[in-house]
Amino acid sequence: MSEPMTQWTTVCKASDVEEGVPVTARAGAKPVGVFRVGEDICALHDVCSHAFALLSQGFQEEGVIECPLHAARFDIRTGAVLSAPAVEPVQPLEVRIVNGEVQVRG
Amino acid sequence: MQLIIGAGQAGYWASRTLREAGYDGPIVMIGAERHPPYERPPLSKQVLLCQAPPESAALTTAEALAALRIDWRADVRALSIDPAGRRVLTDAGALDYDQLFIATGARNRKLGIPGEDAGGVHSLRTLDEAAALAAALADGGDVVVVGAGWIGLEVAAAARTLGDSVTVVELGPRVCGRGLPELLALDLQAEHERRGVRFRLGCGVERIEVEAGRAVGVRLAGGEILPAKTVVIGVGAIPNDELASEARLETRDGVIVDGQGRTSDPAIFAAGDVARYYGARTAAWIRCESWSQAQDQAIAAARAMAGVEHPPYDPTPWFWSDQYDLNIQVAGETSPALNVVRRGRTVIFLDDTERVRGAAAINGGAEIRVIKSMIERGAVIDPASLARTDLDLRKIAAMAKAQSTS
Repeated sequence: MSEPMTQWTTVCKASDVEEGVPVTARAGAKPVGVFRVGEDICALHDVCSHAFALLSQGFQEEGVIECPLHAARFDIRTGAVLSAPAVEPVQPLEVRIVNGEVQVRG
Repeated sequence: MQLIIGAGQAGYWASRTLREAGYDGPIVMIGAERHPPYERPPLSKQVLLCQAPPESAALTTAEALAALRIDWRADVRALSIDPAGRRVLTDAGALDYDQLFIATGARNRKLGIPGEDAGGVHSLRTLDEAAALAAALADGGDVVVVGAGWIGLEVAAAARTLGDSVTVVELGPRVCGRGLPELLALDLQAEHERRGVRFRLGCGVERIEVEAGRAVGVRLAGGEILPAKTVVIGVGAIPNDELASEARLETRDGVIVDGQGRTSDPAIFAAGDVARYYGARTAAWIRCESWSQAQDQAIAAARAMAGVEHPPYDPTPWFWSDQYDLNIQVAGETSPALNVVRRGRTVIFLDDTERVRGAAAINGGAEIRVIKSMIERGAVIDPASLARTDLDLRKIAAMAKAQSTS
């Protein structure tokens, strides 16, 4: 896992984030997946904890993201693992919306 | 008492699920190996590349099993089942059961040719075999892989990545003859060739040439000899269903089970590589040697053992392989009788009513997952839309869903 970011970083526009079609972004060196779940926008460290794959390229069903490589599932709001083959959680990032832009930190 | 024969992935998930489903009595799980339960996918990939130690494939530890009050007994083999007396005879004495779970898996098929048991001839199923093969591949030299199925190709990829000289010999006319549609099989073969793997397709193997007890070559039908320091045989697997058939349970290239994992004896269940079930989605009897069947079917059967009935286990068949930086996935039906839509490196199969039935992809796992949900919804989508690679498949799926409900 990369160093925690103490500064807020803009990653995309809030209007770019559709439910079911996450946005693949970066905050500096950190890969960030941005997800819409209902009214909320959430962000996770984007790399699956099991093998190298970007979760934002995976399959979203409501508040759950499934990894495109081996179908490990994570809770989008908390990063918790919901099913194997992953056993470790992924890091959830703090999110705020400023002037229609999604900013993340953590 | 719940008795589990086999401490692999299916046995592990059964034991754990019994506890999670509220069964509080004794659980005994016997395994023929000395290792605690482990999963096999890393054995033909990261372990061969020495990117991960063999122990990293472990699903659990002896301590964690003990904490769940699962009495795991290593190095114990079942010899016979007495269904009337509810007793299993093992090489470490008899064990009585109330319900029995058979998770004996499968074993590698042998070629039945001279030299097959010589030093330097490997097959790959267990942790110990993976460790031995990893050491041999790291040692360098000529590697000949017999069989261009998933295991053969994953081993070839690992060996080539380590810099070995690799030749794959296959009796059939192409790679992954049973597993992949032809379009993608040719693509995958080209990926291997681009990285230096040589293929001898449509080619039988006559014998392993042996000197001083070690393999030195592979003699092909017709007489040509390929020099080899390491030979790997990956020509399929046979279910370990003899315990069940000798106990008069119904078997047919695998133990026949229903959607709750129950065999023809209601006190005996089976799951994973050894089990065959009726898939209503595809109207076929399925025995799928996959990671997901070992896990999910075992969970379903263990729930039924604990008295939690559930919808029949009948998933959309799904499989993955990793070779180099390629992730290959297959889902649903990929029969040549279906109509094919090509979408980049994703191949989608539709029936005559344009209903989505299956797909295979190279580096298209995200699309395979979208297609799995299309299959499960019975989605009907016109081929021209599916082929539009300028559109995200998730958006195409959403548009089709909106149209069908409007």
